Amino acid sequence: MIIVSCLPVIALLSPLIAGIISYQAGKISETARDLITIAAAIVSFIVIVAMIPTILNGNTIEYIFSYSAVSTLPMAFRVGPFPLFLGLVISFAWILSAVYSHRYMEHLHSRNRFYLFMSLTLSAVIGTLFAKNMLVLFIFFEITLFTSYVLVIHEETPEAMAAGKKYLFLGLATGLVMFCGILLVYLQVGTLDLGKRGILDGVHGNILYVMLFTLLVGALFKAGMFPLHVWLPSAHPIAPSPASAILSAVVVKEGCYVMIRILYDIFGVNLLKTMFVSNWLILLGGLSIFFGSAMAIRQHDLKTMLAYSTVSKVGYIFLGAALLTPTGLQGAMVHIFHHLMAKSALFFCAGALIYKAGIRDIDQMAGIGKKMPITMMVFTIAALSMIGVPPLVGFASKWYIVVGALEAGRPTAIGFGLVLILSSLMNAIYFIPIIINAFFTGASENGEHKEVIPDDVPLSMAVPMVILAIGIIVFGVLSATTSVVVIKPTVNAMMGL
Amino acid sequence: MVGTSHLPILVVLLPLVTAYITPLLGWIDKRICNPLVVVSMTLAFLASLLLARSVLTGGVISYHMGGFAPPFGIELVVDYFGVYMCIIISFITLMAAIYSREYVAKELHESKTVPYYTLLMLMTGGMMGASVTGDLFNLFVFFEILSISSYALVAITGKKVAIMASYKYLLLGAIATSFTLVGIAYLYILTGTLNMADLSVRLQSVYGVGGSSWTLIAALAFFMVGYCIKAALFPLHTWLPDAHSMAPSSISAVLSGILIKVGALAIIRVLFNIFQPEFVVETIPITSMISWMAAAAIIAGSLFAISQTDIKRMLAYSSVAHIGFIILGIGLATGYGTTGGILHIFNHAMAKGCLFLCAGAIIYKTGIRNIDDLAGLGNKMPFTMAAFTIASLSMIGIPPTAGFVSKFYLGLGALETGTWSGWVFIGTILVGSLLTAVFYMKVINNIYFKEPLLREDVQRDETPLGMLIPILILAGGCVIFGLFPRIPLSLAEPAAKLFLGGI
Amino acid sequence: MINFEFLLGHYNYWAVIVLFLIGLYAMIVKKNLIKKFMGLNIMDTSIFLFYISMGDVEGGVSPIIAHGGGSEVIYVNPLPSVLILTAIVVAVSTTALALSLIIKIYEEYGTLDSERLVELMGW
Repeated sequence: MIIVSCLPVIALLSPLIAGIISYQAGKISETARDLITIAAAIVSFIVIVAMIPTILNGNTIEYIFSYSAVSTLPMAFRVGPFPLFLGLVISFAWILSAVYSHRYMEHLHSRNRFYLFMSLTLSAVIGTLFAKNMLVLFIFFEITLFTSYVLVIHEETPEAMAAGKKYLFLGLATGLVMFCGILLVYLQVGTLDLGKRGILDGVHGNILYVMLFTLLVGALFKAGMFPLHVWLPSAHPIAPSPASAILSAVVVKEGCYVMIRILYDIFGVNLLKTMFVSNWLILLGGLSIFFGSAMAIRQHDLKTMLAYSTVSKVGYIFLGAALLTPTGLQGAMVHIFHHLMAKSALFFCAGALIYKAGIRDIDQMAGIGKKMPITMMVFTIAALSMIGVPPLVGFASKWYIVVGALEAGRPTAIGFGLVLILSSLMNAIYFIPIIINAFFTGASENGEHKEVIPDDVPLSMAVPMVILAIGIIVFGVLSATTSVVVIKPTVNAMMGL
Repeated sequence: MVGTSHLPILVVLLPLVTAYITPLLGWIDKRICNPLVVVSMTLAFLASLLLARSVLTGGVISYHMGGFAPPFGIELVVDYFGVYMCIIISFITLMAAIYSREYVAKELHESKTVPYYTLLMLMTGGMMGASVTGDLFNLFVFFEILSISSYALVAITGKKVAIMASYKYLLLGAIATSFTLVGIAYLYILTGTLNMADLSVRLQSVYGVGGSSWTLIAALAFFMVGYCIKAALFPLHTWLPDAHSMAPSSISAVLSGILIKVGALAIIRVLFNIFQPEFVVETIPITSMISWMAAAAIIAGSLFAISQTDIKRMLAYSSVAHIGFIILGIGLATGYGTTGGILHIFNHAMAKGCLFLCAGAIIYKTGIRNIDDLAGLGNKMPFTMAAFTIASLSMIGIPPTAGFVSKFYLGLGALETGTWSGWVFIGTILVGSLLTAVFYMKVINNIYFKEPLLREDVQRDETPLGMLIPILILAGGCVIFGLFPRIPLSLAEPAAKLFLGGI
Repeated sequence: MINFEFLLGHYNYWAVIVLFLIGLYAMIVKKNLIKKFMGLNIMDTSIFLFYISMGDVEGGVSPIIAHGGGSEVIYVNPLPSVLILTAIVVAVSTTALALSLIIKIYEEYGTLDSERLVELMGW
């Protein structure tokens, strides 16, 4: 049943309006500005929570802004289980990020602008999630590019501008290719609706592959998939840490979301199976996993390393989705959830290190665990989850993807098993030494042993990190329950089961 | 009702009559010129809206001047496209007129105030007339009215460079005039009539005849060269960058925003109103030829714009590229494509008008013309720069601005052709929009994210309100018509349908 | 085989074409701005001639109905002449504007040589 409600629009507009208000408020009081930003994220979160009962009852929420705005396409929003699930997680991550920024940003310039564009980015991401058709989705997708561009170049240094340029123009170019794909689909079938699990009935031949390729290019760029990842390792580390967390945890997930919607709602599972592209997409995912991990090992800058790690994790999500099996998709979703939490936590930790100790380099982290115990504990938990140690969430997500691969067939499963083992090993190679170094090595660069006084981050920065760490553990332990309650219905809705 | 039935002539006469009253009243008091022009343009705008309503409800209006029935009398034909152009012309001129009050007082010598408004009104009258006329020779006359007044307006600052730019514009414009005159002569020899509707009927008997078809081709060629010069379609654009960058900014906004579009209007009238779509699309594929020229214009105009350092010159080259988008849409001759081209006339007029007015405000306040010196303006003139950014995004075609909608239609139109050239055209549209992003993002980055050289440069010093209001209205329009594209589309879609009726 | 009768029979068109080309040539080749503009005027004149000659009817008289007229009288087509009156007005006003611009250019730059002007302008 379709329920008309303006809740999605409220979730979308509250950060937008709050962003503009906070920009003006910031000129008078910085605290007021931060509180408004946090409040807007909380309002979004509550509004999305309020939609849960309706959605769990099997309904969808729609809001139509204008009928047949462009050609025959309406400007409208629709919330189903998958957008709701992701919106919930994203808006929650946003609250934490806004809280974290309060202290972190106080030494940086142009703070009003930062908060404005953070709120605008949230608004645009929520718009992407709740879009009813591909056109609306694309509109918000492009807006996200511009708003997050301002976050990337926040420092305004030449390196930041260069990274921003790469991000913006590659984003525009790939967005235009995706736009071309959207036009193709619209011209062929006359609709871009995202609620039908495949709208391309009656389209045959090579044009399907052209559509798949052009549409995916835009999504894969935003997701930072190999080989369109080139912007990611330079753009994510250069942003202020809260923004890095948002970019890596949320904006990248927006790309994953769009990719899943293209695969499952534009093409549909049945059509993709007849196109025999699954294996190629899996191969692409595998390459991304492998490449991201390999590059991460080589890095010395902590944030760059985390950025490469994102490339590899996005590979998992893509691979899980490309398996085209229910469990595989489930794995992809759990992985989105897991990566969102763990990568935010890791970037928050990296930010804490910069904030307190001015450390960006991995080699300088020796003994930091004694100085900043909370930060490094959170870091350890998140890193272990990334490696896939049970009972953390990361393990659950990998488990589902493995099961999904088994469902898909033996060769896929064997291939994926190899990738999984290798990449987990590589993850361990780049995370474990940091942890060991931080906790079990004295800070003895100059040969002198000073008494280490714990000097950890302020409370407003520590709380978001700790919440995320607890989340990683709790959802890891309860993964069986959550997947039955939340993920399974979502997957069933996506697969049409 | 008498009031509505005379609307077609009213929209033409209002600016023309104002043009004659302005010097008389200006002789008494110079300050009266601006309110007079603003009131007159407001009335013209309202009249155009009323006209649009009656066209949308009652179909195409035919008005016989002096009561003589066509083909003997001169006929004004107000179709969807004509009234659409009228609305755009009166709206942009109104904005430029409001903006002029404070701008002209500072940028022009006092003695030039009266000629400025007189010429502006003459030019607007010419554009309005060209939009609604149904007579080929009448179109030529109105074209000359607008061209000659625009030559003078380009030179009105009296600066050395402006005079040279004006002379260059005049020479090319005069050649265009001669060419169209020859084209008219050919059609008159063939048919003995100058009424467009009558011409299109009488030409049908000529299409098949072997000998005359050469005359037809020659006529078409003369028309195309003539009007492509007026529309500044690459490679006949050479006058545009100088003329548009040297004119006063309020005039640049009108020139780039609407005047070159009147050239596009003439091309549409010749291709679709006088000749039959079958003839120009299939028999002599002139539409595909101008599409290729337009594709070249998109790429070349954008590339030229990238290398500019002067902000107004950059905007002028961007107009060369965007007139390419418009003509490409027209030349595609598909439902979506032509709608997109016509829609882009509107969207580009809003965005480019806004950009030129912003550039004028920058020059008014700081005297800066060089793109690299714009650092810190984001803090100095926040509203003007926000409007500049929105209009730039509309030029690039970023949703949810209006430019995106026209890009959507143009892209669909290119794919709709279903030929390999359609793929080339969509590639051109996408590459063109990416190149547009390159130079507009350069300006935006300089405005917001570059450290200014002097600290005092960032003191808040906003554009005066009288100039800011039109800028903000136009920038707001870029967003509003991106969110509600139905409004311009309600005229653009039937217009395109009417033109392509034969296909 | 060239049809001389055809060629000679259309001598008015040949004159028009020759004048048109002379004008175009002057516009492109001449360096002096005034000469350029004179070329344009020659071009315009050729078009005026074209219009008038196409409206002419052999043995026709000017289309003024005198003494009640009569069906046996042949009039020339008046419309092209009327059109060309308008075109002449347009051409005259363009010329006036161009000449005033040229005067200004000479005052500002001290030369009317287009190549020299291009150097001065830096275009």
